[in-house]
Amino acid sequence: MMGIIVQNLLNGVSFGIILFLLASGLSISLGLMGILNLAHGALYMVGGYVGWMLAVRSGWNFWLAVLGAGLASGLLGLVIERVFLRYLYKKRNEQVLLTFGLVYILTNLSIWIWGAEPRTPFTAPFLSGSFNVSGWQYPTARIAIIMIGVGLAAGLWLLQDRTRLGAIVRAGMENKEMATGLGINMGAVFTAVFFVASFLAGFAGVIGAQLLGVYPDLSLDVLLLALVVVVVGGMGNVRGTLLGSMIIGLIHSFGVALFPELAMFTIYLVMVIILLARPAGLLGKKV
Amino acid sequence: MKASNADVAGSSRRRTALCCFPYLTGGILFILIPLILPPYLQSLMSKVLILAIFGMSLDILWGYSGLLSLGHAVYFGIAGYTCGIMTVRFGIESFWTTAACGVASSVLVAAFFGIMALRVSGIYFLLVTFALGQLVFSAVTKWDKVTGGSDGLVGIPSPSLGVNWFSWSPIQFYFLVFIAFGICFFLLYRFVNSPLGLALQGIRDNESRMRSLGFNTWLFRYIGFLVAGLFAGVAGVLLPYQDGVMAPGQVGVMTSGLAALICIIGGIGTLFGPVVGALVIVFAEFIASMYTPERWPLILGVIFVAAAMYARGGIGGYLYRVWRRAYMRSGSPND
Amino acid sequence: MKQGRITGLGWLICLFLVIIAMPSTSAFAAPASQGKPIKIGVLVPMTGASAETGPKMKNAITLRLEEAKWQVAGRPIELISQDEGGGDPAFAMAAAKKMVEMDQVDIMIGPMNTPMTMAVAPYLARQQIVTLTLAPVAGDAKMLSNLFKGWIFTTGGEGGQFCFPFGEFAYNDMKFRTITTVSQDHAAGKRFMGTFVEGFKSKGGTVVQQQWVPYGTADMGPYLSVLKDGDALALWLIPIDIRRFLKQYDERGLFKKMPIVIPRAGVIDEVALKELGDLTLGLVAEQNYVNLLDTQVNKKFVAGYKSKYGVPPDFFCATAYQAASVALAGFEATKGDATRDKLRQAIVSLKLETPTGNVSFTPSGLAILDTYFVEVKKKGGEYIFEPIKKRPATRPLGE
Repeated sequence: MMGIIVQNLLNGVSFGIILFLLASGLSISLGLMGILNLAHGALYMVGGYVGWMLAVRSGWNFWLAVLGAGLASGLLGLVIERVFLRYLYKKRNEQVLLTFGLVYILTNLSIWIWGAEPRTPFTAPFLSGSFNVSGWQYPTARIAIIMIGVGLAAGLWLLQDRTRLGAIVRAGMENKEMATGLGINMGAVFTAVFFVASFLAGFAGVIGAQLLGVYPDLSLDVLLLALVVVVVGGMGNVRGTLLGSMIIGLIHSFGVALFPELAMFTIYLVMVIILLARPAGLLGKKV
Repeated sequence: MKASNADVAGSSRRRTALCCFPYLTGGILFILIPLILPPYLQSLMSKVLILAIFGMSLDILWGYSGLLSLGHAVYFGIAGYTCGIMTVRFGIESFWTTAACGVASSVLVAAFFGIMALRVSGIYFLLVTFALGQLVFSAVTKWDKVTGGSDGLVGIPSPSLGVNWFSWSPIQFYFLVFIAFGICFFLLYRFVNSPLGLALQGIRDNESRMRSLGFNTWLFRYIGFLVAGLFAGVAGVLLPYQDGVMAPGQVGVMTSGLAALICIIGGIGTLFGPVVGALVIVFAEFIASMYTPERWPLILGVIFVAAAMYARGGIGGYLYRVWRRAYMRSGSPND
Repeated sequence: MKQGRITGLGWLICLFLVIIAMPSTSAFAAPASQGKPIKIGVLVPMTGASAETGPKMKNAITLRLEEAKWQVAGRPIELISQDEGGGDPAFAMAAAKKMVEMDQVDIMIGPMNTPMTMAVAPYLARQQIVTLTLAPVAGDAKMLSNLFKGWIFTTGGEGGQFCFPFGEFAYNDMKFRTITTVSQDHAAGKRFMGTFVEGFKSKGGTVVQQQWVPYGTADMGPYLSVLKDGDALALWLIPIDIRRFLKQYDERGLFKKMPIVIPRAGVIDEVALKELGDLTLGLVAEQNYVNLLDTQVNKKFVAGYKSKYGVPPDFFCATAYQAASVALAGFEATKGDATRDKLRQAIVSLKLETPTGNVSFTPSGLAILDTYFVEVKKKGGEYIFEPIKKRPATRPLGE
């Protein structure tokens, strides 16, 4: 019994960290920039495929592959922002149409380039295998995921709350004209933020691949999960995204253990209940 | 040169004619063209009109009330499932009964969900409606004894109008849909031009001002939500008879997204926009998948991206601007 | 600003031109024409969750038609293929309608996924189009006969006809007495695991636990945490889920405790075996095709597929090849007469040997097929499915 509880605690937290990684990019672009980027999941998927191509097919070092994937998605995001999104900043409707179209394009291009066969989860050689935890074995990779996630969360929080860049971004969100008047190049800031959000998506794609693998429908599946996290936790801040992802991850794990056949339904039910109490999410701005 | 009374009267007649012209031509085209099409294209046209009604219902919420919903497919799909379940599981054959129940179920759910969703607006409204939509999707998928689960409800027979000698062919089904569409279009047109509809647009443009003028903005929005849900339900009751299947995807976020796409491509805030949008999307998908069965999503994606970047206000919006220029040029008293 | 928008337009135009420049992939026509062509329609998944199987199946069918030199009974053959979509039955319906009414196909091969098959079956039966399925449908013989009305031939089999004998095998030959099951929570998963369990229980086995994984579940971990002990774990999940599951099963060292048996192992192929590695050694599975089958027909097929496409064929390729063979044999029997009823009669009375084994049909069009029980081994550095027992002439359940 104790074993089941501890295992699912670890399951929930490690799955939650993956959700955090994939949702933080969306939370940034949605909460900080107000851009509804439906292609976020597609950027995750592209990162996953690039990581797979580098780590599995070409035998690169896993961490280099993670970096490579992040850069690939980051650059892709950069191109998307510069060529398309830049002209659609206040136009929510057109953003929806554009990013939806990009999902179709990126998904189909990925199938064309890498094939549609689902990819088995892969990880760094030294992370495969398991820890011995009080009599049963727990995958090392999941522990590593937790550590990476916590580290990233700390880094993002620092960046957002404690650095000048973070302050600039937050100021720019509140009042773009003022910030520009202070001599800050908001166009460059926006592009940089979107690059970071996209990099995070690609990064998450490979870290997440240790658990989830890579397959074309990931672009939509991940987008849905990210939206759920953002709905529950609130968007635009690291704490909210972290809280939301932990809740969803733990509900999934314990939900499956307790009510195996209602797994996804339980998640959506909890999501709706939380929304009834706090429509902006648990740590979102009060609406 | 001063305009004479005769001139003014003449130009006023011209204005009315010009105003009705697009609707009349559209109507006539939609009646005549399907008559010469082969049957499977006729059923494609039925799909266009069903999606057009669905799109118009979202337009009420989005274009006219300023609330983008990512869970609108709930009212669409639930109506369809109600009809399908009544026919397949309970053997209720009469179309009138199932359709009435279908629309009623949509309105009931809208009444319930509206209370939850309308506590917020903007991006939060989008997220709340998304959440509610996913909940329904998950429930429909899970409750497979009734709904057929993720494999869907199959074998839905053609609707029975209670008249024995009548059996359905694609063109007949099309005209049923066309009549339903015509009625919906007319009713929605009256609605958006009614005081209620105009108030909604006012609230969309400047809620605080409307409130300061004494309008109960929440109530107006709620009514708008119900109306949107009702018409989505009307589209939904036609859906199961189109192909004889219902799938959980039809209450899910992808179908809600489809409604949004139809509105944007066609032009938001116009009633005929969703008609144009539905026409474009259905035929683009069909032609693309015929031309390249493996790469057709690429073509569709490119069309969406191009429309987002270059067709401001959608294709319908563009057509509207063209028509408006003609309208302006016709009846000015200072000719 | 204007300049930037032109750049965007430039990208889009380039992409569009690339797509348009691709040859239209939907129709292949015979080189020489003598007489009206026979049109074979193929409906397979090209997008969505099963997107990787569609092109494979089309390749296998093309191979078979090439071997027949694109003609049968003196008439040329035209192949028309469409996407059945990624999960929307209405999309599959539209594609089916297009092929039946616009292209006027004489015979239909596909769809592959069960929900699509169930959705288009009533329509195809009404239109009286002979249809050959490409993957096992879920349902017992009575229900299927009522739905298919003799026009839809289950060349892909029916889940129960394969899994029930495998359940018996698990008890009799593998000597398992208790099992725990993990399966996908949809029609196909329920049918496969359900009939496997029936077969197992029919010999006296007991089931200690059954877990059902809803479609779209991301993390397999929780299912592993509450897994009960048995002599074996019976597992069936969709391709992405089964890969995740097997990886995590291994990571928790569970293979040492409980071996895994997999009915309907089409969900993992040799590529997956390679990616998963040594953990797959010893997996016992049921599949009605493995490319090591030692028959003349199969050896020729494997060699032909490999030389044309560079990779060995898998279960999906073989099923598609088999369906194409059935179609050709049908037309040969009617001497090229595509009259619907004649074609149907001809196919019902066929007895063929194909790479998957012997194929014949019950009077209502349900296929009688061979199946094999296999074990994963490593030979010469390659992971293979090695047949350990053949179970010939399985019949659909519930006749």
